[in-house]
Amino acid sequence: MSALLEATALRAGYGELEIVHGVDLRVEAGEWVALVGVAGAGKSTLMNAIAGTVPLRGGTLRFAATELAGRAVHERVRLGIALVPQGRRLFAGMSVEENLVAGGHVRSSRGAVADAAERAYALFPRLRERRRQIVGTLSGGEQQMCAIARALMAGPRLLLIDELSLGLAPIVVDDLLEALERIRRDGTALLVVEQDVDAALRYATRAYVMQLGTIVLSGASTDVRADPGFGASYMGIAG
Amino acid sequence: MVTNLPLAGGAKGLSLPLPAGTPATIATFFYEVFLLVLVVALAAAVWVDRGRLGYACRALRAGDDVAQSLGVDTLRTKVALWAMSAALTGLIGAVYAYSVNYIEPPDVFSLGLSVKAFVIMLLGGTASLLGPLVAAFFVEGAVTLTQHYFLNYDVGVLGLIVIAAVVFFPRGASAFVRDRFFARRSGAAR
Repeated sequence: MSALLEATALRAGYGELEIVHGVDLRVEAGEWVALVGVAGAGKSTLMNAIAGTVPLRGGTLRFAATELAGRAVHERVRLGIALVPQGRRLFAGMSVEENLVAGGHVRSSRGAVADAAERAYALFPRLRERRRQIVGTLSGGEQQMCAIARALMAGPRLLLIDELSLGLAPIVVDDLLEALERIRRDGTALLVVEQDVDAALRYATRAYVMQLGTIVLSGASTDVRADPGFGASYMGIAG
Repeated sequence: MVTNLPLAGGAKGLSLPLPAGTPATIATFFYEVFLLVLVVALAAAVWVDRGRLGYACRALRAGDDVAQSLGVDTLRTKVALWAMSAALTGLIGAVYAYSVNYIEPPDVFSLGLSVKAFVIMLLGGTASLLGPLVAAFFVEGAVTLTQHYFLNYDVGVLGLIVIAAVVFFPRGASAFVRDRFFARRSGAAR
């Protein structure tokens, strides 16, 4: 069986500047994969290249055996790739519910949108309580829940999350991780960029470590963590 | 530029046939047709606002990239909006032309009309249906009264309205009214 997402020698960047230099990366259906690395390693560029907001410069990128090169962002959403962007990019002046309805754009009917919203509320009961509240007045954790719920509205088979825990309290991150594990069990594969290594590797079955635009280490999460070079060289942590 | 196009009589303008009837019945007829066009335009706006296209537009306002990442085909959405806007403009234009029964380029291509439309938007505010409607009545009324009592100072009055709007309602009168009297949504459910 071929992988859900398969990048081979993938190169991507902005204008003249190439940031991702030949990355091989694979996500199986229903799998949780972590992408870690220091700031500036190219993690966000790689995520955006998969979602389609950054153009590919070489290599191949296949999703469910479909070549993604040349496909617009909205087409990739329809194929089943949803991105929770860095900084969340919610509609701050709109209510939680309105954000979710906007996320259900690719759904064919109002009924389908309502069903998807119901599933999102089941995952995040806090959002159900605050469905009429303006998103800008939510806490950071609730906003991240809303961003994830909005991305789920499209019914993705692969959910890309760029910076899950940035600026959030550890206890909130625990809640988010548990919710993501439920999402994964429901059949959605996850590719999660995360700065905090403990949070990143807690549920992930496999991990990729990125440095200066290339993958320098990859494998099962436990092996990656146990690698002698992991802390010192790749994550920039002393000892 | 439009003045020199051979379309619709060019600079000479074009006379249009009048419908049969007394001046009073003709005026009533056009009044009713204009009212119908207004209802159609408002209905279209409400329909777009509540539907999928409306949410796509709100997503677009937040940024093309965000809209795309939710699956919105941004090009298609923009084209659809332009087409709808042009269709409504064309609809009212056709009725307007017959109601004045003589058209020439300055009627609609002069600076005055464009300025007036912008003043109405500025005063009415964005993301509101009622705002621009009320603003249109207000601006149109103010201009007509000025022309009646002080002849050609109407453009000056428009200028004064612009200044007042920018000073007192920088986000449009509708947003001002909303924030002032209907500050219900933010902070609710606390």
